[in-house]
Amino acid sequence: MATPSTQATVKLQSNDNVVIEVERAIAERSVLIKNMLEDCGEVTDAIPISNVNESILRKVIEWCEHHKNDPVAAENENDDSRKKTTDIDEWDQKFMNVDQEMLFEIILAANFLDIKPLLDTGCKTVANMIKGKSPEEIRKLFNIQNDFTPEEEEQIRRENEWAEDR
Amino acid sequence: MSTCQNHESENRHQDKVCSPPLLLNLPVELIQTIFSHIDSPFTYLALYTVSSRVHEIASDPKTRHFFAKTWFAAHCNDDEAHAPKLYEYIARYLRRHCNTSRCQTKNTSARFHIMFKKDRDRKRAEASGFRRDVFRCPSWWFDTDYESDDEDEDVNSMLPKCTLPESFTWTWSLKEELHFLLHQQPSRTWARYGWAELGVDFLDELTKRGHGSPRF
Repeated sequence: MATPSTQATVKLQSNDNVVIEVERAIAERSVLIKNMLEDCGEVTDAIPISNVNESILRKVIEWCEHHKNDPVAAENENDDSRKKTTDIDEWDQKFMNVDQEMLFEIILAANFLDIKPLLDTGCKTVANMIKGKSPEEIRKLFNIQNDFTPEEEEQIRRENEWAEDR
Repeated sequence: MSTCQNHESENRHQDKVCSPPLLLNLPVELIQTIFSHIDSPFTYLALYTVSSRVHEIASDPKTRHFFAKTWFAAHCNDDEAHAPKLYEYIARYLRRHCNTSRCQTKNTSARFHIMFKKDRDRKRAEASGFRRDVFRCPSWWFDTDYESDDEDEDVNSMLPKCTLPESFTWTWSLKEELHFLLHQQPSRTWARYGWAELGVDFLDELTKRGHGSPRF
């Protein structure tokens, strides 16, 4: 078993080979990195973050830095205890005010690095973009092609009629 | 690399229309997580007609369970301003489901069994009449098997663990909420809330039976 490390910083290497040194406490917002450091003890080499490029890695580190003192949610925390789904911290709202490409990259990086609060914030941001929109508006927003025939679309609409105001 | 075009809007998220469709390039479990956070059942249902892929993911029982759990958890203990929405949705859900012949013995009845126990006496026949009136739906519903994807559904998975009251209490709560809804919405048309008025009458009747506790 590895000896617990007291190193203050760790190096993270993006998939475009940029090495970024960060405080260990910040890096450990990622459960993936935290587990890796616990398993390996002292790590002097840069840890390769193979799925994340430099700009996204820096963005994720920025988020981790801001949230480094947040309490870590218990692993078995009941999802039912979640706050209102649309609630996003003001700082996080600004942080997530990026173009769609970066937003989805952040979500993918948060998923890969196992940073659940960041993943939730990203997913809530996308959910808020969808909220209140018609199917056509959702298609336009995400550039999705409507591949239903008019008959199929009508059939689905009728199946959902029960929820409409009538 | 995707190409994005700018549109006039305050929110940069909505400014961009990107190609390829990045949302659908995400792993399914992430799309499910996103859909689970949509804070409106009506928007959720709008997803069904976006495209066949979105429909496939949104109508998947697992995605619907994620959504239902998150939505119920967010709204069950809401303040009064939000509570009627919850019960309105439940009532609409009942209206949608109770008219299929199978639902009375399947999972819907397990979830909301007070409302759907099979009629064995006159009073229950009245209840059945109530269902026909209040939860009225087009005739084509009767000919369609809408419950097929619920066969193996865990009936408890649609409900949050902590918030909905016990079954008979739920009837009282629904009645109270329908009263509240009607009281708060005096300007609403009967066409929109008629089912709620009838629902209140029915629930009033139900809650008068027995010694203060409804019997079914």
